Amino acid sequence: MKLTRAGIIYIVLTLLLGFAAVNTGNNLLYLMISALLGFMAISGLLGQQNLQRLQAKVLPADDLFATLPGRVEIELSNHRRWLPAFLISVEIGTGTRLFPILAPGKTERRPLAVTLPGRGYQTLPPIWIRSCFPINFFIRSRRLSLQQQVLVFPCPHSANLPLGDGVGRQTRQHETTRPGIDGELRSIDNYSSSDPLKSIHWKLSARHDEYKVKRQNRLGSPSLLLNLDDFPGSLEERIGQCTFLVDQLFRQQRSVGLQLEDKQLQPGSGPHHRLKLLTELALYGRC
Amino acid sequence: MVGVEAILRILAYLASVVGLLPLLPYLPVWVLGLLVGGFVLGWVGDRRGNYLLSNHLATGVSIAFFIWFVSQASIANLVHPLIELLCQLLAVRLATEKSPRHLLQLFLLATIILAASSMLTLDLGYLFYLVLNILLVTTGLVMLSFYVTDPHLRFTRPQWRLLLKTLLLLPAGSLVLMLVLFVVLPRTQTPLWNFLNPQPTGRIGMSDQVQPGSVAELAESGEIAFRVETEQLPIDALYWRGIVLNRLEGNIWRRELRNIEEKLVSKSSSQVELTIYSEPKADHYLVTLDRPIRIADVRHEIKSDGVIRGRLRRDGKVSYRVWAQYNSKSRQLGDTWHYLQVPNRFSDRMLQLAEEIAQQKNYAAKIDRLDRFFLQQQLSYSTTKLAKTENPVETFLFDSRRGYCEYFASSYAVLLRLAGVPARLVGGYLGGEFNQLGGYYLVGEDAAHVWVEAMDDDGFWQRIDPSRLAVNAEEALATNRSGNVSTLQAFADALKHNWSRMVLNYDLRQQISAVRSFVGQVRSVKKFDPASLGKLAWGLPLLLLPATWFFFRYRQQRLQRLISDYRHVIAQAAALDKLPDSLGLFALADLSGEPLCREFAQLYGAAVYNGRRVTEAEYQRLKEIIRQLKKLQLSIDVAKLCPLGNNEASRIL
Repeated sequence: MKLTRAGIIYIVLTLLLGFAAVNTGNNLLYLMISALLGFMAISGLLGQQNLQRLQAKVLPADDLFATLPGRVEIELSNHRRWLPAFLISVEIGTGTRLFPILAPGKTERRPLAVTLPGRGYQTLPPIWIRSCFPINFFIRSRRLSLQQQVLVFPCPHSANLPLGDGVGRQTRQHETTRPGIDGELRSIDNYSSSDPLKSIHWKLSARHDEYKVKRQNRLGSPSLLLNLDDFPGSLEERIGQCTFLVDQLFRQQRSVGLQLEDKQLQPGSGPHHRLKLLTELALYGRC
Repeated sequence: MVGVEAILRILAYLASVVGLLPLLPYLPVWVLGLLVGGFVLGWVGDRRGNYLLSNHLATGVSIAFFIWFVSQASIANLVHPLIELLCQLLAVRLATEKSPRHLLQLFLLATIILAASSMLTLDLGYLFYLVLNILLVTTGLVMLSFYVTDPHLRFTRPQWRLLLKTLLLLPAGSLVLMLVLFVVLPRTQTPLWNFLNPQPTGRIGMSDQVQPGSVAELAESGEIAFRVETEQLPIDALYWRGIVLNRLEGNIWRRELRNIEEKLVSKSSSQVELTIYSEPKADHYLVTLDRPIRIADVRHEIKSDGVIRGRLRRDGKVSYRVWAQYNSKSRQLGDTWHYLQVPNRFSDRMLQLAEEIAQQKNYAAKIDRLDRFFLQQQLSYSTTKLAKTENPVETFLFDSRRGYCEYFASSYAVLLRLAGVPARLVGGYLGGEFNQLGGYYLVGEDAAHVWVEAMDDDGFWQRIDPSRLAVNAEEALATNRSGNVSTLQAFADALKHNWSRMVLNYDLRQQISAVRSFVGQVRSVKKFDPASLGKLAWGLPLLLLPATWFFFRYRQQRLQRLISDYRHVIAQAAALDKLPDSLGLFALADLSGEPLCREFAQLYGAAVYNGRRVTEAEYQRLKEIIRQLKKLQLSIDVAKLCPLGNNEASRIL
């Protein structure tokens, strides 16, 4: 519990009035001082109860990369039957999120940015819930014991594709599902105003009395196999560069594989494969 | 959506008004003008978002006001300058920007100003303003904490409802605790800073001399002399004894202290117990019902003629208990010659009348003759247009024939003494209004009265009220008698009386008395009284119903608590905050591999799945298992539990 400046002023005022009441014997001052003390006691009780029976969960909303701020969802539940929770500030590391009012028996989720220092499975920093409710004289806080671990990917370091034998090797071209002009024909559709004129298939249009366009896939870039040993720098720098490239290449819908010291992950695409590669990188060299 | 800031401002203005209201009659016009200016400037500034009085300027003005206070204040004149300074600071703060710090200062200043008003007035209205102040300030301070946390917070109606429900707990709880703390907070016997308390205005005291003719008109003060809590008494018994005047010097009756003993012959049928709450007085005489036997709760000195002198400061209200008998008589022991003492100079008319009375054979006949003379003279009771002469008694009896109680009593007693009957004057009060609601008599200063005590043939002092011999006695004395007051007046006075009795007069003595009373009640509980069982029988069903409900509810809930404890132990063993709800008891037992967990699941399952209640023995065993599991420091591999339970994200363990 931390005393605020306003709290100090209130306590000094109460003491002064108490001193005046005792020395004057003025019962009206006694009434006032009793009210002030009563108010302090009730607000203390409410403040203490305000932090009880609350449960917080942390749910990752985005990928978490070491040393970079990432978004998590804080789920705060009020398990009390009658008393709402007010002005609950959930703090993880340096990130803070306020829950102004949480009704009894209710749960709310709010996003929060957290930064974790290293890759691999990381225990979250302690979660502190703080509140100045009901009066901003004391700030009460409680540490929630949350033995929760999250997987943190390596911090990406900007890198270019290394040139070398076997690295960045083009295995084969594959088609992406995105529309393009150099892949296989995927469909024939009616012309719409968003289509360029050059996409109109004139022969087919002549047959159907309306404009027809050909839709084709885009021909993807060739698959790549990234070898960790082909990158310069220390192990962490190499892992960082690899992470950067995996992330970038998947954004370009390229098929990527990974060659580690004693393990090879064949090139593939899709979010699950991306997660698989990033997980391998995150846990590389960790027990 | 309603913003917090707007509500905070309204609360701050209202709290300021409530703090100032009890002080308004005491503030000079220029301070009132400043306050009005502060309110107007502040309100306009709030509307425009631009304040005429900047923070730096406000600080400068506040310092100037403080310097003014230092130049005005002194030990003798501290309260008024201090209150004016507080009002000036409030006016400045009202006129400036309403930042969180300034809002807090406004709430605190409003509270201090209300507290300071108790240095000027002890009126019952203070309680009303205090309750309002608590309501507004507590609400304001809670709103302020929201405002400090996030100035842009806005709430929906359901959220406001939630907040207000909880907010009500604060003032309600504070008021309840206020009552408790008020009773128990320590008090001192003699306050050191008494000079800061409100000084009673125009204190009236019982004069220790009676001089008829000293004033031409008797002004009515309308002030309260004292209140007496007691049963309703016969109207003729309402003579409140204050002082006995036994020596006549010229026209002046005085009190001369002599060691002459009297013995009170009591009549227990007329004994009553009274608690008297006296207003501040200028004298030290304690008024009691005629005649007092015993007095308590105050240091005093009681004389044999029934006069009680308090050994205390009378600048505050005082309360004391009295045991008195209104039909008792006092026998004079020893000589009575000094009750016959008269000055030498009297006119022939007076002496002739006295001689005529003296010719009667005994005291009773002499008194009877004097009564007849008073009736013959057609004397009238009046408090106005009274003749001021050198011989007021003679003028009253033979010429003007107008006067008030002092004229009647003084002339009556003089003639008795001249006729050889020992006599003396008694000063006090007559009558009183009985308040049915409060169960007490209210006696005003206007009921001040003087009567005569004359000796009868058996040596007893008897009360004679010569004012009753006036031709207009019925009407004149009716106002002093037990008159009826309206219900509204009675209610208002009962409130005032209780305020005074329970709040203003509450002191160390009453604290000690309350503790003794409490201890006494606790001790009396130990003494078993079979008769009280009958009374209890009525309340028994009322107690039993909720008790039964609580018992069954407890029985239901204790099993739920047991399961919750068990799951908590297992969660701790797996270093988890909470177990997934999908994991049942048997699944937990399998995953943990612990025989105790298996036993727990089997015991509980055997009961629940067979549709019967868990027996007391089973319940105790389940409790024992949890206790043993805690001792075991069980450790369960997280990986066993998490893949099953945590479905949030595959990356979270």
